[in-house]
Amino acid sequence: MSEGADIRHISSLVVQVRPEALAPARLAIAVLPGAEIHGEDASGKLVVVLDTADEAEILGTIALIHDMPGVITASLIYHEIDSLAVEEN
Amino acid sequence: MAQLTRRQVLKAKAAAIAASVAGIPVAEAANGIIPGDEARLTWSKAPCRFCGTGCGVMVAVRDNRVVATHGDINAEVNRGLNCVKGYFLSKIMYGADRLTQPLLRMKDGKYAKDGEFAPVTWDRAFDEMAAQWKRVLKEKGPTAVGMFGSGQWTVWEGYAGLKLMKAGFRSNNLDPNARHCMASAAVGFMRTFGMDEPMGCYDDIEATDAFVLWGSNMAEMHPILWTRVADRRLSNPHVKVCVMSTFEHRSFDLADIPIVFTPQSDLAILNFIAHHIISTGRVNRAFVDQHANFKRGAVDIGYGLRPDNPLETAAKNATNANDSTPMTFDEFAAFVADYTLEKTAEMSGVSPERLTALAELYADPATKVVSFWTMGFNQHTRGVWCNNMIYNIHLLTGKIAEPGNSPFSLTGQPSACGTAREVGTFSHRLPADMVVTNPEHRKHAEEIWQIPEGTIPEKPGYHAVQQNRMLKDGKLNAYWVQVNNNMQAGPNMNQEGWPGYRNPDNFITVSDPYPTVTTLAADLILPTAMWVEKEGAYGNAERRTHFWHQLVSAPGDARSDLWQLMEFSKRFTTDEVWAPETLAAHPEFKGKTLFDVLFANGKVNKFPVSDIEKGYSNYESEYFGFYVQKGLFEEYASFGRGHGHDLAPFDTYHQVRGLRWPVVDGKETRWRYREGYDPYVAAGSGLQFYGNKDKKAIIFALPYEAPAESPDDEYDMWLSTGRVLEHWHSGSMTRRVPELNRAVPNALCFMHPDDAKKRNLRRGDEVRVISRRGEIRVRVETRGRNRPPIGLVFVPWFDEGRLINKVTLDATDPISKQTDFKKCAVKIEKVA
Repeated sequence: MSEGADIRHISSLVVQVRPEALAPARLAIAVLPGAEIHGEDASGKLVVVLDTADEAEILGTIALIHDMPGVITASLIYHEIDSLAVEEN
Repeated sequence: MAQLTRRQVLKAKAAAIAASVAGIPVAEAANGIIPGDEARLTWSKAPCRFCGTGCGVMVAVRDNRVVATHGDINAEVNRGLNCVKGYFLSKIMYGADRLTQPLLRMKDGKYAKDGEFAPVTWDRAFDEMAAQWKRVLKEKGPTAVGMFGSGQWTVWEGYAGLKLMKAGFRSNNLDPNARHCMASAAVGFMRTFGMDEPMGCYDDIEATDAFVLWGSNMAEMHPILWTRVADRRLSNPHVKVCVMSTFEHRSFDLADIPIVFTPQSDLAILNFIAHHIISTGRVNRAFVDQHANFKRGAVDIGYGLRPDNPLETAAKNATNANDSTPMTFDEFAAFVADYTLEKTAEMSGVSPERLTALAELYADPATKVVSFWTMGFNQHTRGVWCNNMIYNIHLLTGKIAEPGNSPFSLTGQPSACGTAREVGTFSHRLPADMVVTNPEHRKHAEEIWQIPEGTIPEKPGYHAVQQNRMLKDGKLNAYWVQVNNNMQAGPNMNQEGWPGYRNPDNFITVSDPYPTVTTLAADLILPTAMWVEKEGAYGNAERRTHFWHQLVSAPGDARSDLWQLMEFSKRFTTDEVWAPETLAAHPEFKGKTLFDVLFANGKVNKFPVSDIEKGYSNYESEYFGFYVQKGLFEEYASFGRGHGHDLAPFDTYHQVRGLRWPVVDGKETRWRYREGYDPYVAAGSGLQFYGNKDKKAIIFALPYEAPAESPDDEYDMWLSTGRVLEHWHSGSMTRRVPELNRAVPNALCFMHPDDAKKRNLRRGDEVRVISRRGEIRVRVETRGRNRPPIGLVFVPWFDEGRLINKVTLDATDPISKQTDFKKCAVKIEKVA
């Protein structure tokens, strides 16, 4: 798989958080570069979408999220490689 | 209408899939149709290649190459989730240094033990290997040949290996790397229930009120099951999680009752819980009277070291460690009464409050409890005892074999259960829990295999650790290793493993997809097809058998382990390997090849290639001219059908996401031994532990005994080894994935900040970890995911640049022969 400047990696995560830590975790994740919150559940789940340059950045972001207080798991669910060239067509 | 950009559509789709997995609504609706590549991809199901959880993945193939994978939403185990290793599955086959042709050590155009590896053809490779095996068989007979297999073998590979060794070469020197992984669990099951593998299943997670982790870091080692545990805990506030370990790790993030205990004192804690249940009057007497017997196990059983080791000569019952004598409930109660709260708190270093809170999870009749364990229990010189003792407390309270009440042994390899345990690729075993020491079992196997009575030898062969010792001693001389990296994974490689492989008397063959520490130690390296480069079947920790098709072809001349085993068998005739008296009594076998006898026997070669599902290739079947996997599976399944190990018909498994055995009348079994769930339980009995003749389980009285090696003045720290989330086992696959390797490139020595300070060490400093057997250099980590207590260090073993098994001790459980990788004594010195 060749990777170049015209490639973006769109991925989604489910993050499990202790309910009492949900609000601060939501904030902390939302300010991460390329991260967006797309859904949540009061029992302690967040749907997070990442828009990154490569896979290493996905892993780095997962590691950052994992180390946040109250975060129990951060699981990668879906990942697709998007090429800008296709969009511009 | 606002036009969504392609990027927004993609994000919405990604979010929708994640939300559906998590069971939460999202704002955007998924569009679903993305322009681009999708039409050119072919998607098929497969189980993940890594751990024993058995997650289902969907695998996308384009132009004979796996290009993507994602969690299979239709797989019950993981429901669309994948861990980070699972995500990178598509890359494990495409490492730059993939082996694509056989390599033989040569000098002057000939094989030489001290030669350099040179590429050869398969014919040349097998010619040399067969010549070496024939030489050894002629000189010393079947006890000098052996094989080390794997819990990563597919079901039919393990079965073919078992047949080739035990029926073909007439050698029981066959053992799997699963010996390092769950032998104590398997023997524990056999000793308590007379039948291997858990009675419950993963559905217990959603039905329970409490989880207790005994020496298991599920957050890193079984992350998908951990998301299910976390889901249960977070959405049901009454649920409690107790995490027990000799050091703090990621699973402690979810712990309501965190417990760090002194190594080996788990034995005392287990007995304290039994005592607490009895002394507070919470024994389920009706259950115990009806379903359990009591036995006193042999004590002072040694440490499975070499017989001349002072620890072995001093042990009273080293040679009869598995013995036991009947006792009464009152005698058992008196036995565990020694383990008072005060004494146990002192031995374990755990506060009385936490010990009581833990014991109450088991004692309280209103609390359903699941116990999970892996290597903390199994890699233990008293690992079988630990397994027996956890069953004790589930049996005393009757909290077993029903939804939410479950003692559950997790496994580390994808087919440790399906292949190593169920097929029986151990030095003492045959399929379906049968053993070579039982004449009836041997006879039954010989009938199914249509071979002369007396072919299978009755004496158990060399187990994993013993194989390395016998290689070193020159008693095991022709040796074949498949699907594992035992030079890195086995204990005490300095004193046993390496000298054994490099002993000039020995010819060592190693089959692997990649160069490893073990292939480096070999004389012949065979390139292996992996995962979806072949048709396969695995069995996971909850008795789930699942299949996959060959989806791509292997690179170059790489061939599956199955092809290698079957093709090699063609090079031997019965006259070369069987006794003349056997052939005189059974002349119909004379002159036949082992391939004819074992595989072209009318059963294995019964199904035509045309039975293969349309659209899928199958290299082995096309090569041999019959549907190899189906024939092997159906012959193998005949061992267990009607005996509590029933497997469904072969073709069914290609349609479903796995089924949990016994599968009777098309229905899987989620809870064994319980009426209403398990068809083998007699109507009206409620529950039967039918693995034992009297249909009762055994509660064992077993004491605390000291570990084989403890810290002293000179070697003043405990060493525990283990895994990390990003790498699987020795890293031979995950270290080929650049992203995973970048995330965790090297093993670190996790240490308490005070221990570091005392040695004038700072985070990142390089240290020598030294034991009586060897040493390695590694950098210190005082923060991060593992937080050891004072006096203990943790070093993971995935890193071939820092081989911690130069340091570890080859002490084993005397009953299961499994190594204790969690306890030995080391000292830490700063590299000047």
